[in-house]
Amino acid sequence: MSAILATRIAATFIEQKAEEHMTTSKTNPRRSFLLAGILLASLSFGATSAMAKVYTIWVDGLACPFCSYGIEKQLSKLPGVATVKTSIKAGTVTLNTKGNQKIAEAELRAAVDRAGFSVRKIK
Amino acid sequence: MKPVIGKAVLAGLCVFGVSAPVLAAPQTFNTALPVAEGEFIFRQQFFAKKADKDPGPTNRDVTVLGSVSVLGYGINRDLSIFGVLPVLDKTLKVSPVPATRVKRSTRGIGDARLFARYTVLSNNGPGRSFRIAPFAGIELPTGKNRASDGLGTLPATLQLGSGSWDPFAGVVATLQTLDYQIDAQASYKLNTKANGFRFGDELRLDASLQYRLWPGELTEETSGFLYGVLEGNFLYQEKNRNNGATLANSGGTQFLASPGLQYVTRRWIAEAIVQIPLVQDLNGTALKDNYTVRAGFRVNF
Repeated sequence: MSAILATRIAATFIEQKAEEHMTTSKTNPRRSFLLAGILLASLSFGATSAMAKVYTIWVDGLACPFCSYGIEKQLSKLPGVATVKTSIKAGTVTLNTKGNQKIAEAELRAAVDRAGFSVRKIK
Repeated sequence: MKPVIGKAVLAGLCVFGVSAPVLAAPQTFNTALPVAEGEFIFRQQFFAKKADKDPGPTNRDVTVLGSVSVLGYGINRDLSIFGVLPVLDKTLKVSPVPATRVKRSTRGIGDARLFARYTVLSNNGPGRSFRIAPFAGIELPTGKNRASDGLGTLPATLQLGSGSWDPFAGVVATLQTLDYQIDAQASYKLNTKANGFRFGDELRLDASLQYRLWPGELTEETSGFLYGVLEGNFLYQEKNRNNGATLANSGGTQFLASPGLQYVTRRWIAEAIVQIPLVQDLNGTALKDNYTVRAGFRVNF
């Protein structure tokens, strides 16, 4: 909700700057639009990050750094995946999606399977 | 010149050992760990081997410098294929008669290998993996096998390749945990005849222990391991045959012990190992090994 609100504020700011540009010639229109664009982009990015889904996958067979790379590559190929990070100690892979995109559990299991390892559970 | 350098040491280590299918944790042989589906793995190893313990009267001294490039590809989670290409530089110094010293050498691509490995058993647990994988392949006659110098055609064992198509097969097992890894492999290579010469068949039994030295305690941020490595290589080779005649001064049994180090990260591995012969029960006046030093790296694409 807060992300949507922030996006609306940015849009309102752009509208105001557009009106200023129409009514006065003293304001540098390029600068105003640039500032507004940056604000909108920043807020939109923040909103997207805030809504990212996080999956934690417990992987059996994961016992060395070199092997973890194969799992990370397979998971990174899935559509909608933003970041993948492995914890050798915990035997887990943490996956962040782009936006609030969901990834089916079956797809996650299949990706780990293609790397030659087994999924114990997904949260 | 009789093929005095065509002994088990040279045949075993130059023809088989340097092009051994080395892929993951062990440095002197294969492993059962997976190559992810659709992914490549590359290994480059450099080595230097010295053999000048000559029980015969000719004071032979053999030096082999080389590199071995290995490219692996995961067809699926269980089936991987590998290509191995050695580049060798072999030098023989010998005194056929007292007070003389003859040097003969050759350099270039050796015999390439192609093989496939299939994981038949995979038992995974938290921080633990156990796998068994048979493999089979063939050594191709890509190396020069009729090279000559001013003294004539080089002996078969100084050639870069055997000239023959040699199938091999074996099985490898790997137990990997967060603290250590153990690998064991058995393989047999059936050498065939080329140019009238046939190297003796080879049986290899290999084992490797890698123990994590650093870090002592794993953390969430741990991204690299330093392993201490201890490997053992047993090699039995039958006697060579030349134009149907068995060569008495060839073949035999060797056991090498190999301490080493290995640093493992997500994308690459750096490693080095020294192979020291502990037992060399070779036939006749077969030339005995001094040592082999190996160093290299592996990269996950």
